[in-house]
Amino acid sequence: MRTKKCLSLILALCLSMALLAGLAGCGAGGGDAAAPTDAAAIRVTDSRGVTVELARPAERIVCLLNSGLNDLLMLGCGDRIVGIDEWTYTNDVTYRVLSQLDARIAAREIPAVDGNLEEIIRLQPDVVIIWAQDDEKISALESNGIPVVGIQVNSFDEVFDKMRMLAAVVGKEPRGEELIRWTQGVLDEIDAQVSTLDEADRKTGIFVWGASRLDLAGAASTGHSMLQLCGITDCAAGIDEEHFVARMEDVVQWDPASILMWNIADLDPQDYLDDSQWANITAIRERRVFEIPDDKTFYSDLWTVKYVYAVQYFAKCVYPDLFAGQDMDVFLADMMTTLYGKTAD
Amino acid sequence: MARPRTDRARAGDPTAPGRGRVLVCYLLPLPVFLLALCVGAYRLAPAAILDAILQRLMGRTIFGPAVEPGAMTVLLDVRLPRVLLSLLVGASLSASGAAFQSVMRNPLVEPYTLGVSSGAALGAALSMAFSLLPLQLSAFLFASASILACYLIAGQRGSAPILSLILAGIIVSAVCTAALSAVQLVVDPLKLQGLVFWTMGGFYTTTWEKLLSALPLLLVGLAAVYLLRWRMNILSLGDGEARMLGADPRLLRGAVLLSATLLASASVSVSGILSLVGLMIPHICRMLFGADHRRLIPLSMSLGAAYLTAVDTLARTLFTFEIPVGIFTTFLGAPFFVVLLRKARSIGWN
Repeated sequence: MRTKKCLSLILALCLSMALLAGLAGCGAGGGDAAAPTDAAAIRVTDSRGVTVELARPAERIVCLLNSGLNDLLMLGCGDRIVGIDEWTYTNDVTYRVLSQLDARIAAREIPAVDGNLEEIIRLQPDVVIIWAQDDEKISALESNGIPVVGIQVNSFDEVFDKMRMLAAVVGKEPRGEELIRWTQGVLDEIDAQVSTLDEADRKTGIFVWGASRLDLAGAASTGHSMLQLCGITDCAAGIDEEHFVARMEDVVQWDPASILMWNIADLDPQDYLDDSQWANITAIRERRVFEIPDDKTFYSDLWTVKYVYAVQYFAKCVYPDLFAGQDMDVFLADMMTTLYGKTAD
Repeated sequence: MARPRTDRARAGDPTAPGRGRVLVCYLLPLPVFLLALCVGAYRLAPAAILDAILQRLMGRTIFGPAVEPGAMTVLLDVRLPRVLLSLLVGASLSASGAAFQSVMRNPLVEPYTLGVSSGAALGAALSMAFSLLPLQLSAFLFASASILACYLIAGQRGSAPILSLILAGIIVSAVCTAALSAVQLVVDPLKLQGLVFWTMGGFYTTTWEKLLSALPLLLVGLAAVYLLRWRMNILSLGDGEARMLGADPRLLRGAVLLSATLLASASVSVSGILSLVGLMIPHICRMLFGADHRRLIPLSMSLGAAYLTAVDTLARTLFTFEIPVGIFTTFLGAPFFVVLLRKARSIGWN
């Protein structure tokens, strides 16, 4: 008798839980960010191709990618950010510079919430900005009725697309276009200079961005675009990959005249210069190996319009005569004032 | 009247067909070595290869004008150390696998069973993430520490029962893998991509310095396993029989395991994790040539060296970029091994 009662109780509990779960599921379905409504004032198609609708410009934003946070600061919306990614606080250079640009970041007032779904829901954001590949997080957020803008940046064109998306989300499209125009203007000036080069004077090169000397950027990458914008012929243009590990024998055949390196902790230009396998490469013989300096990584972010600093830096390194008049400190101060409205040490 | 083929082989008849097969297996590394030297992204004619070697050794050429610096670099500083290292690592992993299988009397054991691969991967990850030790040294130390941990866990009153040892290997591997996952969570994305490539195994970063740093350990390990090969026959009979034959099985097992561990740790520290080589090659040799360790050990070394060098040559020539060799060792080795397994009535463990 007692067993029967227990079984009935357990059955009733199970049925209740199933009913609750079903109701919760229905509620989540109602919050589908992709479903269009006429009341929406803002419609943004994100990198996933999903149309995100907001009733008004976002006032409470959780931004889980540092490049998005920088875009929002450039757009003048730092005060609307209610949650950010942990990396912004743990990366020394990034935190040091951003602390000088935003008092709330300096005081660590904005919580770092990446991956913490409960914390994000508690913050009641109007929108969450997140990497588009984060499928699980995105579906968890959307199933809780939170609009999500998924971002993917594979080229410098997509850096501009990202800026336009975020400008639309916060209702600052004119400022977004102003930032893009300034960036394009700088690139045009660099292009005008390198266009004066004779074909014979153009350097060949490779872009290194991995743990080993042979981790190179292929044709489908911002590294390749970087070389092109600097007026350098990419030796690895025939390899249609974003990143690949090159064969040393190919590198010897390509004989690059310059090696451009992203800032890599365990790899320095000196490693190439000291390596006997690389000794006969023109870039080594002519000591044309350049790395983004440790204290300039923030200013060279390839996922924001700040990539123009890296383009200008590398172009000046490879063609010093062409850019002899360009003072990089002045360029940096001008860039920071234009983008953030202030400079940082 | 001619003696049956098996009798002739047992009697040491040099014309027995088994001898020919053995001879081919012993000599196989030589043509593979020469072929590997001639093949690569940078095209080099055999005459140019000879000239390059002569030019480096004697300062002059025979077949043509002075070899250009690029060709000299590719042949003597890129290709040659890489081919030599793949020969050595192939021989070492195979000999190590044969030794582990013999000592543990278990066909499923390989050099990575006692946590060598996961320990080495953890060492490499820690080195990449925090730069406390050079990568190769860190991988070697953690690989060796994993095996030591297995012995400490499995040890009972001065001995380590084989089943406990294998179970300890599973536990140590699991702990190292969990620690590796934790490191991967915090490591820089650029380093993470290097770590993933490293764990898949390869020789693309081989230099003379790297080869020379591993050479003493590999040579000592190979020599020790070679010298202990006939004693492995005694061990494979079981501890009781070994004692009856006057051997100290604990001491003997310790010596073999130490040598095999040295080979596996030193190999994984320079090449990353190369799956199946240490499992597959000894089994193939056992199927082809029998379970006598006097012959099995040197044949495993020879076939392993030839196999890994051939696979690495494929890995660096099939595509326009480097493919981790570990992928090839698995994709090429597994079906071949399956075919042999189905054809052979016995793999020497009956």
